[in-house]
Parts: sequence; structure tokens; C-alpha cells
Amino acid sequence: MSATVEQVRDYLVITPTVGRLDSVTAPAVDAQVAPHLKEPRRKVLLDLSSVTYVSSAGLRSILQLVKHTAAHQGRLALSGASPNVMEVIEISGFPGMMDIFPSREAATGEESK
Amino acid sequence: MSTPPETVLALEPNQDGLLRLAAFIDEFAETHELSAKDAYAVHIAAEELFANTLAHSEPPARQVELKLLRTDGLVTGVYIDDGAEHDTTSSETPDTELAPEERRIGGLGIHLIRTMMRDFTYERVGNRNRTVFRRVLASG
Repeated sequence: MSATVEQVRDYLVITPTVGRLDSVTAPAVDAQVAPHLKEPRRKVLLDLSSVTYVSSAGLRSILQLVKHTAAHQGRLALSGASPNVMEVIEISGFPGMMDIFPSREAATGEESK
Repeated sequence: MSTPPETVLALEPNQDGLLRLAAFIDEFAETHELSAKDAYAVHIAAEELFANTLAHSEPPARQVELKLLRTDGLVTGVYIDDGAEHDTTSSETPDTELAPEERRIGGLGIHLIRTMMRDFTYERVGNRNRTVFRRVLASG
């Protein structure tokens, strides 16, 4: 399994469980997420708290989620990105297209575990 | 002062190769005490070049080589493959200001390398592509 996908309150929460989101692992995460995006999702949260590395392949996966939510009048929410991961997200110009939270709980409003 | 020895990895261009490439960079980063930020940048550059070799080489490359070298304040990567001529450094930079629906999926890897590296150059040498990237180390 490359990611967990669950509904938490309003959000479809996607949590990649691979440490690296790269050209080997990103397609597997995409495949696991795809069935959940067959219906329109306005609120999607990508929790990167288990991910230490995102390459351009991982950025493509993130951009697909940005595009999906934007196409349905929503915005992607992102949580748990480390400083190094955040740097590549910033270089790619993504922050203006998403809502960034320090933690999954801060986004969903659920109780901290 | 003698020139520090290069660290070289030769591998075949396939998906297993990426795992070896990543392990090689991790080992180099540890041996040469790169900061996590600098190691991350080297991973980004090497993976992107390797992915390009897999995607754009027709006829396919048979051999890839990555040399890494740390000198005072710099880390240098020399990436060589024997595939068809392909200048990754000339790829178009995506417009990172566009709205989500207009953003193109692709081209981000080269944009990352250009941003994270001081130098990013290409030359065709014989029947091989030779791409060099060089970063000023955050850790000095």
C-alpha cells in the first residue's frame, strides 16, 4: 500500500505512506487515489507528514490534486510538509493554489491523536 | 593539495536503477557531510536526469554514470548516458504563475534543477550525453 485514503469530516484525506514520493512511487500513489477522484471532490487534504522527499514526479501528483479540486470549485489542502519538501513546492509556485496547514488536525478540525 | 577523489556509480537505466542512484547519493551525502538541504538538491537533479534518460532515449541508453565530487563549498555532479542526443538543459521552463487549470503537468524537474543549482550545463561528447550540475553548499 502506497497511501491511505479516508474520509475525515468534509475532507478526503490522502496520506502517502512512502517516504519518497518519486518517479517510482508516485504512480502507485496516483493509482491508489484515482478511484476516489471519480466523483467530484471539492475538499481534499494531502498529508505529507510521512514523506521526506518529493521529486518532480511527486509534484505532478500534487498538481493533479490541485487541478481536480480547482475544477470543482475547491482548493487542495496540504499538511505535514517538511522544510525541504516545502521548498520544492514553493519553487514550483504551488502555494498560491493551495491551503497549507501545519498538521492534518489543523485542516480537518479533528482531535489530535 | 591533492584533488579529492570522485565517487562514481555506473548503472543500467531502469527503475531499479533509481533506487541504486538514491542509495548512492545518500551514502555520498553521509560520507561528505552534506546538509539535508544540499543532499535533497542532489537527489532532485540526479533523479530528474535519470528520469529523462528513461523517457527520452531512443534508441535506449545502455549505461548511465553519475560522478559526484565535493570540493570547497561546492558539490558537483557529472551525469553521463549513452542514449540518443538529448539536451535536458534546454527544456522549457514552466510558467509557475498560471492558474491551476492552465498549469502544465511536466517540466517542473528542470525548473527545480535550474533553481537549486548554480550551474547546469550540457554537451554531447562522442556518443554520450554529458550533463553537469553544480551547487553552492548551504553548509559551506
